[in-house]
Amino acid sequence: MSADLLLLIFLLTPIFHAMAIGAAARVPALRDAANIIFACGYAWLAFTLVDWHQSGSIAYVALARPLPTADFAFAPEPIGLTAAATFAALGALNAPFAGGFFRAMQDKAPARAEVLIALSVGLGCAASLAANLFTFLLCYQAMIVASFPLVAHNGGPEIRRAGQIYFGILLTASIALLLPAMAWTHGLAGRLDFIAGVYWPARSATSKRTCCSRSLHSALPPRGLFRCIRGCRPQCARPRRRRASCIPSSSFPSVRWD
Amino acid sequence: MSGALFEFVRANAPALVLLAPLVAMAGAAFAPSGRAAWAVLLLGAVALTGVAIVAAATYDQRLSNSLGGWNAPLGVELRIDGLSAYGLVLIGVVAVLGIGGGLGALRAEIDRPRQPLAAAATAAALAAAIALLVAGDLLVLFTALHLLWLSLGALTAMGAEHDRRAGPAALNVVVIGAIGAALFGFGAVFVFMSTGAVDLDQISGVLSAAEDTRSASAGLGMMAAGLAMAACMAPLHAWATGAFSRGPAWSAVALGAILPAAGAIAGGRLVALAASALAPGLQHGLSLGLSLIGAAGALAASVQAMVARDLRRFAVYAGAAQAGCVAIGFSAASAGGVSGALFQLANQTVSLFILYAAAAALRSDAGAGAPMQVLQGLGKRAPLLSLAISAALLSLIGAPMTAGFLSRWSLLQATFEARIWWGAAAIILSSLIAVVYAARVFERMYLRAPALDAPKPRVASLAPGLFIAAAMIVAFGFDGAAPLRAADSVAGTLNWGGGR
Repeated sequence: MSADLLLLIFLLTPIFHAMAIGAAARVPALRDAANIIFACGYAWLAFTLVDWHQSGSIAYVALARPLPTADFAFAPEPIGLTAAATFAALGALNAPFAGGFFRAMQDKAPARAEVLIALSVGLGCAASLAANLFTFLLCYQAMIVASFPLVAHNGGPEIRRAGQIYFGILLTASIALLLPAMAWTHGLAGRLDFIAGVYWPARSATSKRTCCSRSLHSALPPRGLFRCIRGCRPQCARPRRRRASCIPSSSFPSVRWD
Repeated sequence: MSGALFEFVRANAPALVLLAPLVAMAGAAFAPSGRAAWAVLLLGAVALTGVAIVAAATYDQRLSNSLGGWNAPLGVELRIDGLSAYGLVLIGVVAVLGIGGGLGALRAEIDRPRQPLAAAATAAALAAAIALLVAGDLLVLFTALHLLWLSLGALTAMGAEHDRRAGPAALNVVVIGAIGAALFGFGAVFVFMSTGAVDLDQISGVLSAAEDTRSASAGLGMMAAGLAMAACMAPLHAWATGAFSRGPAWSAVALGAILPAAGAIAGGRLVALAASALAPGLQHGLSLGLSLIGAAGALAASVQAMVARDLRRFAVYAGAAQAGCVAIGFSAASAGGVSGALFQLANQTVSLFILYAAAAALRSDAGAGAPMQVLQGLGKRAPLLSLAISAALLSLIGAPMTAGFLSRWSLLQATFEARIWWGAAAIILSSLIAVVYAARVFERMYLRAPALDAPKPRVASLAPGLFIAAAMIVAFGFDGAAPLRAADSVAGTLNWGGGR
């Protein structure tokens, strides 16, 4: 199995997870079993991705091209993988807890809540593996939409209001701040991909293995955003140094990558 | 033989696209029944769309037909350039979808003897919309505006027996339309007095060489106001709330989406003319005025949509908000701005068609309106219809993976490039308000229980159109290269002269 296929399976698993819970919604034991099995499987996939990445397998999945200069694409890199593995592990830990919690609380719609948890975890992981700002925005907004019913799950006017505040603040921030920032960035740089070493240039050559291992084990940004430009496929090997220089323009300042 | 026919159609396309709805109008008026009149009208719309596609597919240079033997500067000229071709294909396709699915609404809300006349009035309004697109001079534009308001007023009045509020609404359409047409007429006179020409190309040429163009720019401003009314731009959209929410559902589903598009494209042509011909100071003034009106209109109409209590009225307000964004794109007076505006216009037209078609499917027998309560529990009652509405609303918000995202994105890029900061802010704010009004609809559709007396959705005839429209929104959200390339190439064909 290729790294690309593994990444695709990892990205699609939450959908199958949600479908399995939905299919077993009327049988609590089956529903909880499906939830736990899929959550553990998802965590296993996440750690497998980490392992493959550490061994040098580079994955890149592009699902669509919604913007002329940006794909709906995913590219694991150390920081994103660290976050995704953490989310998936927490999801696996949460699955048995959620089953017990909803039973103890005699929740009216436990299947709905478990579906939303699975989707939220999956979308959080997808956002962390985004290859560019567009994909990040899409996954982030989808995560807000999926997690909003969770906040307002128990019903009641106060909780519903809390959910509306949660939804309103997060979505407003993403549309009013992130979207114009994206458009501005695109105007400056001409692309939205995460590029290694643009703002914090790498100071020394780093081997693939060392680079990935260090970033995963220390969970610290290893001298910048370890993402590579689309087209050359993401890789941790020795990010090429790029220099940004502003050139004057009659209407709009633009940046040229030398 | 077929090659000769193809060449004949291509060469005479400017006249044929106008002739098709006019012939359909005559045929529908004398048809023996409403169904026959509808079939004639649909045939006319299909013919118009076919010719438009031929003209667009083989477009390499401007197609022009002079009519009546009147030569410039007073000549009557129909022409198809890149902008016209784009608008013709868009309007033709949406007209076929709307008219094709609207037979049930036509027969349900208009008395049997008047159904052929209603179809004829619809054909006349469609012809007016087409004339706005293919007009090569001010006389054709002026005539098209008159035909548009009169035919739409007549069509709205035909709903009075089903809903008495349609009568005053029809009067509003005629009066407001007359004011708009008069404004346009005064503006045309100003331009003619300044330039001695009514042909758009000649006007552009004379203005480019003129030293003092202030009176002409005042005329262009008045004409832009008249066309903004047709484009349903807030605050000039009062006619549309009456015509499309109180008139018969048929008029909304057949014309509600396409008339504003025709007005907007004609307005865009005027902006291009001004950008190519006026002195930089006057260009800047026109651009500033248009962007400010567009921004204010987008916000005001978005707020109106938030508190709308009728689905068709909601669609009118949402459309007016989108029209404001289109105006902001045009006000950038650059190829990027026009490209974004055209893509936004296509997105607006398709989304509005879905909303009007949904309102027609959810109409009640008791009255002509479609109150928002009809949406309650629609997710369970009609899941596919609610999915189509969801796609339209997400696109109006500008959600990622819908066509609306790409159009908003293009507009934002253009406004940043032209440094129209208030325009960018208005686009963002209107998106935010759209989230609120769309959330209200989503909540009704998916979280509320259906009302006991909710009308049964009548989607059978509208289903193909709804499916195609929703599929376009989603497909162009996943890959918008083709429509964006078309909009880019159209914007590139416009002459921006010494403008930005």
